[in-house]
Amino acid sequence: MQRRTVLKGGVSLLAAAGAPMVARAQAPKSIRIGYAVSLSGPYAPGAQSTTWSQYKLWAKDVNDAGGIFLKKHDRKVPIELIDYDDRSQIEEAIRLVERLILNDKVDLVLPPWGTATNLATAPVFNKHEYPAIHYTASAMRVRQLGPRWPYSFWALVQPDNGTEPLAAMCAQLKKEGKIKGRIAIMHVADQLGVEMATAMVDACKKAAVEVVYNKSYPLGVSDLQPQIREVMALEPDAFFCFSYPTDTFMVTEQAQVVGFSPPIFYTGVGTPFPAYVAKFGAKKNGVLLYGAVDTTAPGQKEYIERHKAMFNRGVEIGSIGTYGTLQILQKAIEQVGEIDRKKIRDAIASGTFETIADVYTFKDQVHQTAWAVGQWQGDEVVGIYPADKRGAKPLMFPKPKW
Amino acid sequence: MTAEPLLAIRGLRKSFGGLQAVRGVDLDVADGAIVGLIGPNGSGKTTVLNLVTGEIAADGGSVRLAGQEMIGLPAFRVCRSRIARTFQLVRILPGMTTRENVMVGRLFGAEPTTPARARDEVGALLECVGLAARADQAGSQLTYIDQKRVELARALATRPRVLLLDEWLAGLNPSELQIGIALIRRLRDEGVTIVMIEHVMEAIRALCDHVVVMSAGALIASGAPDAVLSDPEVARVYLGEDDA
Amino acid sequence: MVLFEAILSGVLVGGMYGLIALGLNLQYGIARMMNLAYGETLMGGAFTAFWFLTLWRIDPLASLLFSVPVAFCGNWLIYRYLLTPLVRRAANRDVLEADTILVTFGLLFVFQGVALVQWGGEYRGYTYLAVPVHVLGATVALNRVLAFVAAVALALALYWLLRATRLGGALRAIAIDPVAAQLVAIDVPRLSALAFAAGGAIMAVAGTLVSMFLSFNASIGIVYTLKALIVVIMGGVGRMLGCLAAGLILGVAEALGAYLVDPGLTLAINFALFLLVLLVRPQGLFSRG
Repeated sequence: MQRRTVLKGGVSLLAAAGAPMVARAQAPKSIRIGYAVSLSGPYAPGAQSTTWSQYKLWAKDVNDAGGIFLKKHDRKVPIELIDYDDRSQIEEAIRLVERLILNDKVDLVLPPWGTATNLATAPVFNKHEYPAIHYTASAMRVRQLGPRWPYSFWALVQPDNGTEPLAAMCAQLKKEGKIKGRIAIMHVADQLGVEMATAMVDACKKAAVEVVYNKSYPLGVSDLQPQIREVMALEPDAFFCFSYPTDTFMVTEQAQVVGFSPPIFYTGVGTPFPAYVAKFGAKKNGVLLYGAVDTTAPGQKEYIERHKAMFNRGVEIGSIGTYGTLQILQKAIEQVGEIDRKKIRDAIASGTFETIADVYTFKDQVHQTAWAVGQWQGDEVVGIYPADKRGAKPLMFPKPKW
Repeated sequence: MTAEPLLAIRGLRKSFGGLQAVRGVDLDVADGAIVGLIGPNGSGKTTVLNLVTGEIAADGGSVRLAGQEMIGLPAFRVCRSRIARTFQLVRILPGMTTRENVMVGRLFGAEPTTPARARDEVGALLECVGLAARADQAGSQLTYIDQKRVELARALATRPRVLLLDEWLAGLNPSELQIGIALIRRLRDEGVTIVMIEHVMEAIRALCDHVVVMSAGALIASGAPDAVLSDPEVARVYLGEDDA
Repeated sequence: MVLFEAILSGVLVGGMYGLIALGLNLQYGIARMMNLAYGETLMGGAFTAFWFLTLWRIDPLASLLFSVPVAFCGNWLIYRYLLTPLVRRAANRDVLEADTILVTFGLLFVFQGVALVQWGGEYRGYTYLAVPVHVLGATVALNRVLAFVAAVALALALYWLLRATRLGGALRAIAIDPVAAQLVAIDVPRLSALAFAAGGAIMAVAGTLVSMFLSFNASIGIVYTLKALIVVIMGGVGRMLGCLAAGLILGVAEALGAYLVDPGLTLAINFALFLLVLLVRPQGLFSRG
């Protein structure tokens, strides 16, 4: 311990004296990466399966391979994770990210879980110039924040380009005479639900399809049947529900009970979850959903097996996507060849990254061509829109009756 | 007072923090007697009752009912051993009717019985305390005297051998007081032994065979009512504020 | 027709609210313990039903034979060994209330943490009796009807128990005044423990029924604790039919508000009703005195 301190002191003295050759020889023992994720409280379930488990799996995968290769030191350096629980409290998450940077002096910090927490901690990342690729965040605000927060990258589909393909799809089907083009929208009264619905209404206006119903319901609602009945009475041929897991399950089950089965049926977060599969079995076939991954992406099958081996449970697209962002980070570090956060940031901003989820490129720090719409086809969630992406499959229309 | 006492209290002690509320009280109550417990406010009378019924745990001493130790038993067991009480501030169950209040005592007291049988007996008890007409009124709607009657009936329903009355006669008007005194006397005649805390001297004189006086947690006098009440020391303690 | 169906839906949801509140009413109204870990029993019941069905293909209703006794014993142990010592230690009711809230809050995190580690955080759900039944021309799901029937049956049974039996008389006396109750020879600690345990058992039933139509995960408990608390306070602490009625009023108000005004308002309606009751009848809608 003491020897190391002396060595360190010596190294920095030499470095200060302008002897970079000596410093280069001193490769770090590990790359220290910290994060604060909700392991208790209401965010814990989502954070654990989508975010925390991916961080753990990635670190194991990297270290099993010997570490991340740093050109500058000409060797692989393993990862050391420092983790905190933000207890689902946003102020706590902010404090912990700051603590990781200032007290623990970690090399890199991974983002937390959830739109609100990501947006709230982003200023801390930017203030200390720590690059972060935020995955579990979708909000219109990120479009305006790009220039102000140069170190933040947004990998998920955002509300506007998440809904534009849906409106375009309806317009196209209407033109082909396959639907009358009557659209019903339900959404959870939460930021994501509201923004998706607003963006959807705008997109429908532009695409000239009629919105016959657009109402919200509160988070934690215990019955949606009256609302579904109201929607049913309007005889829409496309139904979009921008929902969270509990209401995704509820709206799907209750639509089945009352026999509401329009040819286009879309639900939000939770639709690709293993529990959804368990609950609805073959009835899930043809349901459209929020986001997707490229099922043909190289390495995805192996990843699913490693995930199963480590956690003994299935994956959902969110976990694949999160793992993808960790691969981006790893590739950017290897490209730079050292832990230089400014250079890593620039590498992420300008590169194109092949991952197990998607091919990522960032323009204005947002992944503009993110997967917007997926669909259950058989036992697989396939990517549908944007239709020009690699791995995109044609839309299954109409959705089979329940 | 030569017979074996029904209730024998020996060396009863209780402190609350630094305050010695009851300091070594000895008291014998003969079977069939009415014993008056008097003394200024805060002298520890109610605490003695609370200790006897097991509501609060004693620091030391013993309370024997017909030779059986009560100290250490939980309150409900003391009650089943046939010691019942009423409270200085009435404690009926306001959400229940008069009949239900008394039923509870009959159902769980010393000789538990079925609801159907209890119902008849409770009717007789209500008759006895003069509440038959208000049997189905909610406890919260009764007048103060009637609430006191409910409490007495409920205590009696548990079939006590010893009944502890905590200022049961307080707050009654003169005619109610006469009825109350007659009622207590009748209970004694039916075989219930009574210990009563009371400030109404008229009632003490009319009812008690024996009076004990408490001051600052200790017994300071004991004897026949007339003798005790004329004791100058008792008068000084009792009327202390006035004399000073 | 849609209006009738909305009311019917509200009635069914209201029955579920009533059901989850019944157990809390036993625990808080009779045993006088504000148990913040109350909803964790529901979570346990839901997971039991889920695992029995997915692992062993055992009918969720049959899982009650396991979860109800376990919940009863578990809650009894909690009352006896975790909460009773607090009663002895506490100087007065306020201290006791604060202590219980702290202890059960801690318990909430323990249960939730164990569930999270054991079963992971993801949402669970299964399909059971999700078949339409027709009631006077309206369509409702059989699983929700079942929960409603169970709620009404349990509320009526509890009401009868409290009103017409010897045990019920004792429980009511304890609910009103535990000190007076022990002085009419009622074994207050034992019967309080019984009421507390029975409250837990009811919550296991609620968890099993709710899991048939709502998805759940390891952290769902607190949501139901809060809902139950609102219903109990609205209906009147210790009042079983009041509890059911308050649940129904809430359910129907939510459904009607959603249908007639806006679905986004159901939560607001919920809390507005709650506040109104607190202001106008703080003792609860169905309490005497």
